[in-house]
Amino acid sequence: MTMLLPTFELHQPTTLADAVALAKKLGDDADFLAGGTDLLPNYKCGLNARGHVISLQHIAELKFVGAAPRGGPGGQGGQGDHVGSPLQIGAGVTLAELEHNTEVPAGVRAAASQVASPLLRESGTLGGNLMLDNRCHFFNQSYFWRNSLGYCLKATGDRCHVVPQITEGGKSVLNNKVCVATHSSDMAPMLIALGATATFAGPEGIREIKLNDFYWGDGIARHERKPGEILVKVNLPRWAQSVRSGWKKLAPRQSIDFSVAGVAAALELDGGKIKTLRVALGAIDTTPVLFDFSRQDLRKAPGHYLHMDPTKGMPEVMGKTLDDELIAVIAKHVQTIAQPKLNVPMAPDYRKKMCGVLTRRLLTELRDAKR
Amino acid sequence: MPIVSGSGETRNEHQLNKGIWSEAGAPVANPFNVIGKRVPLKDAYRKVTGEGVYADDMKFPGMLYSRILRATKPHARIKRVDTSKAEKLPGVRAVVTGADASNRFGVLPVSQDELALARDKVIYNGEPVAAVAADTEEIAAEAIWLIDVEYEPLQEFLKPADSLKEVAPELQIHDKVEKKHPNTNVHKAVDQEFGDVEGAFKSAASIVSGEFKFDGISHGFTEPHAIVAHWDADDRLQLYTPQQVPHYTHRALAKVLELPMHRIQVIRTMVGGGFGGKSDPFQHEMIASLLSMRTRKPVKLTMDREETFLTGRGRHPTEGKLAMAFDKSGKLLALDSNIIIDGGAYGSFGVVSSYYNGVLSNGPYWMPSFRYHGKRVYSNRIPSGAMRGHGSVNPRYCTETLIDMAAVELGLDPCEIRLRNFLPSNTLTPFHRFRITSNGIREGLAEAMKRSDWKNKWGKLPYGHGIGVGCAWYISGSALPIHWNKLPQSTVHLKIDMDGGVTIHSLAADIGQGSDTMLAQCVAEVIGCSLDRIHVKSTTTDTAPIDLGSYSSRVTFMAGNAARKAAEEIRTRLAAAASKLTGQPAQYFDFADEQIICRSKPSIRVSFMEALHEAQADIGALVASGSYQSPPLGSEFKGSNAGLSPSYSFSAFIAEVKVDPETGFVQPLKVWAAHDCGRALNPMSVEGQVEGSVHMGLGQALTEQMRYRNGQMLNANFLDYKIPTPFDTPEIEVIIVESADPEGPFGAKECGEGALAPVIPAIGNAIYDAVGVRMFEVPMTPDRVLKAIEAKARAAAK
Repeated sequence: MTMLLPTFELHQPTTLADAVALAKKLGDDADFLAGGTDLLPNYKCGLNARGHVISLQHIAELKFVGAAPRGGPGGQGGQGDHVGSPLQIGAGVTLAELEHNTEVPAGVRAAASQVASPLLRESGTLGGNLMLDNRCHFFNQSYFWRNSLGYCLKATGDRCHVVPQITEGGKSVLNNKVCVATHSSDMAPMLIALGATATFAGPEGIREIKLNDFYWGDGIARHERKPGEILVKVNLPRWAQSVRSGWKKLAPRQSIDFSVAGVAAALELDGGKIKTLRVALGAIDTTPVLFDFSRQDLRKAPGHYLHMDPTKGMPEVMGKTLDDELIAVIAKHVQTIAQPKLNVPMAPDYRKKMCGVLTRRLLTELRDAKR
Repeated sequence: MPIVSGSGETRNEHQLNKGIWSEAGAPVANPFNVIGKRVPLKDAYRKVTGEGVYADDMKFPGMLYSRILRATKPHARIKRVDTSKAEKLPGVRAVVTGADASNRFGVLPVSQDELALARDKVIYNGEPVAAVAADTEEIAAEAIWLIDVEYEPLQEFLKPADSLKEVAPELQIHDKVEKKHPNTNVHKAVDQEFGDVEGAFKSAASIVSGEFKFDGISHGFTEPHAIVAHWDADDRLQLYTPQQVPHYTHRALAKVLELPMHRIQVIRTMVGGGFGGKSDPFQHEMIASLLSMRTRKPVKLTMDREETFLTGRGRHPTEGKLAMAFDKSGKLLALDSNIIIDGGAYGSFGVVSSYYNGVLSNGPYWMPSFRYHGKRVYSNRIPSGAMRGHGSVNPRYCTETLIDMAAVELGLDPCEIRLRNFLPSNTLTPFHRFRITSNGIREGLAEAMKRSDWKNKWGKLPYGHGIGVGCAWYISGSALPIHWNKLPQSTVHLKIDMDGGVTIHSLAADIGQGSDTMLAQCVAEVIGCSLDRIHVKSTTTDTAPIDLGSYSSRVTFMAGNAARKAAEEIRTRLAAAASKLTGQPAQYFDFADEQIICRSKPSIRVSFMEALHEAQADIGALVASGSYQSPPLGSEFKGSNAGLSPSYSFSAFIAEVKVDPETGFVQPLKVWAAHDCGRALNPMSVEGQVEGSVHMGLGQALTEQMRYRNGQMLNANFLDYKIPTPFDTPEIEVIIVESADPEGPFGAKECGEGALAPVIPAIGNAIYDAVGVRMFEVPMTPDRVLKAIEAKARAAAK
């Protein structure tokens, strides 16, 4: 039941290239650390701790907002319409910096300002929040605790305590396959709603991927980060600066807590009619869930999300006037699709209902905002 | 969100509390020199500069570190404990198990049901099973998991309903249960009936009833349990522990370790919050002592937060079915109360809790008839115990909700119905003969109504915005000691040597509530010296005379009185010396500002030091002793001792909230907290206590709950156990009501606990005013509030 930090070797590279080289050398036995506000508490609980920790705190290349520094990976790599995007945010930027940065869209500021607490936002970084480990009542516990109930899939165990049984071939069998731990990042759904991409540096070089495609799979897999890859920055498309964006978070307290549901939205109106609408849910599934009512950014494969299909029964809203009635239809769709699990605070049926309430409130606010 | 802190500097002048006398209803001048002043607490600078020494800060040469292996089953027979692998780990110096201590202990002599370490079976998930002392914390932490324990699971009792059932003797959690309920897991049953309850319900104009449920909550003190035990070179045990009650730990150590008490010294370290959670003698105190006796080395044991939750003693999970009867004028006729409290694995303070859950409903209203059936059950959950407002908080929520319901039914203002029922001053309650001395609750409620603009708000605010009231009373020290004997409840020694320093020796534990400062103020006031002459030594049993410690809100009243008496003895001697020096009669001296002044001719005076040196001639240091013992009180019937106190505090709170009808979130906007503490010895400290009580009550009202999966606590950490943050805390306006108590020191009564209970119903009743729903489950979490709103809407649609 100790809360002692397990022993590891700390590496503190000062350039991205050195960090990538170190990660390649150390292989699976290394973790990256940015602010440490998520990783270290998990280490203290003995959760998947590794022998080496590579600190990203001293890498200046990760700390910028705006155009990428000259010669940095943002200047050379990338693809599509994001090359040279004026809106790039280094992964090492702290949430407190983002919260107060007027260059970034309002939704990004709002989401950053509600992560954890003022103190934690001084340490926590954008990259750290995007790479946040998933959370679950049966995972985020001490060694003693897990000794008592038994370990779960996400921590060396052989079963899920949240969804103990699954159906396989028409039969109910022990769930020893699928982890349903919740993805609690606040920044990820907001940036997905805004159509952001992420740039990674790894042993294979630089690559850029849509954030929406990056998150994938169950509570253990979570995303498509390749071994040794470091999140360098996120890139926002030009239109992200002009659209209306916002964030509503559900949490038991007004500070400190992880989201138990969150709604992000990016809305473009043309004479009161919807030109673009992207809504993303946080803390409802193993990944953020995008509802692209514009139907342009659909998941690359059906069944990409573990439990829900946002396109199922998705109402046709493009070009329609965003009146209260339409907002209610959209909110109802989001609520219908949301399927939270009983693995973080607050009951799933309540959180599901709140997805609808928060969506409606957010869209109403965005529509009515003076511009 | 604006937050008013306890510091007077952040307040506007109009917000500063000006004491009001309950009898006159108008402010009067403070007649004292030191008493009634805003004095910073004596340990404040040490705390804020980091100089304060907590047990975990202590280091001794050769010190070992201990870790406890805890049960991973809620109820199971221990078939085998194999410590051999742990003993072989390099750096491990000793391993102890249940085999090493067989004497049972517990805070109450009637519930000696705890073992230092589990012996034949474990009775809750988290119970200590074995412990290790090693050279480092890391080695100790590794070693405990090398201890092999084989369990054979037993039927688990995780709900009160299961604990009430008859079971085979081998399934009883403890051998000894309530005589009235043999073969069950009922720990204690209290059945009381006074007056014509049936008749009252038959004749009532309004009968209100409800079934209530409360989750268990934890104290959430900042400092986790941390101690150092040292079996020293003189074959004496020195135990450094942040105890609220060093004396009961002293007794329990003697019993478990089979040592005479004088071979043990208990040293209270700085206490990082207690709230009742550090008032039991604890298993870890026994365990570290056993390990130190085995190794002859100092042994430190510091728990993490999870273990602190598991050690428990928080407020009992409670289920209550209560009904109240009123006549058409709103006069209370009867209370019929059925309450079951879940005691968890041990007795702890539970027998007292069982009584308090009933008898403390005999105030702050006049109760013409009263029935109470209370049961405390054992279960395989974390032990419950005493927590701020012990035993009175949950039933207070029930009765304050019911009174509000009656007011609505009778068409009365909720404050008005309360005003019609308050106990008068200077009376005895009809059945238990609780002695009510001063009572400022009417003035308190009137002032809270005025400041909150109650008359223009109640029933008049828009939907989703409401205001509510809650009132309470609380004992100012339990009049009966836990251990029945003829010793006084508090004794204070004073010593003044030629250096002019005044040393107070007392075992009253300063747990952050400021009792050291209180003792210093009492003494300084009597002998007229400055506060900085006074040094309080209140930590060690070798030098401090026994005091029963910091529980039941007893310290100011009892230790304060003892200090005053000791100081009066010194004053007599200083007066004699002044008389000798001036030729004036000894009885005609006033003591103030370091001067001893002739009352009839103020120009004739001697300094404190002059008088002191004269008084010390031929005898040296002045020493004096004062003590306090409650007067005989109460009725004659069995169990009539519970709830007796030499005095009672009273509180009247009003809370204003906003309720989001779509999310169920409750946002408290402001709390007006009127508390009658008798004379406020230190108004700054009173404000701190009341503000802290409001914040703590707010947590229980809205967010805090101990959640379980089977017998295992789900949220034993401060991320998942939701204590309100500053952002969740509303502005608090403390209204100090000063009603001079005839027996309290300088008129003082308690203020540390009574101010918690009224917060919760004030919020519940404000929710009703806001959205029209009654909350029968606490905490009033958003999902519960939303469910109630939806149920009401469904009912209205039918």
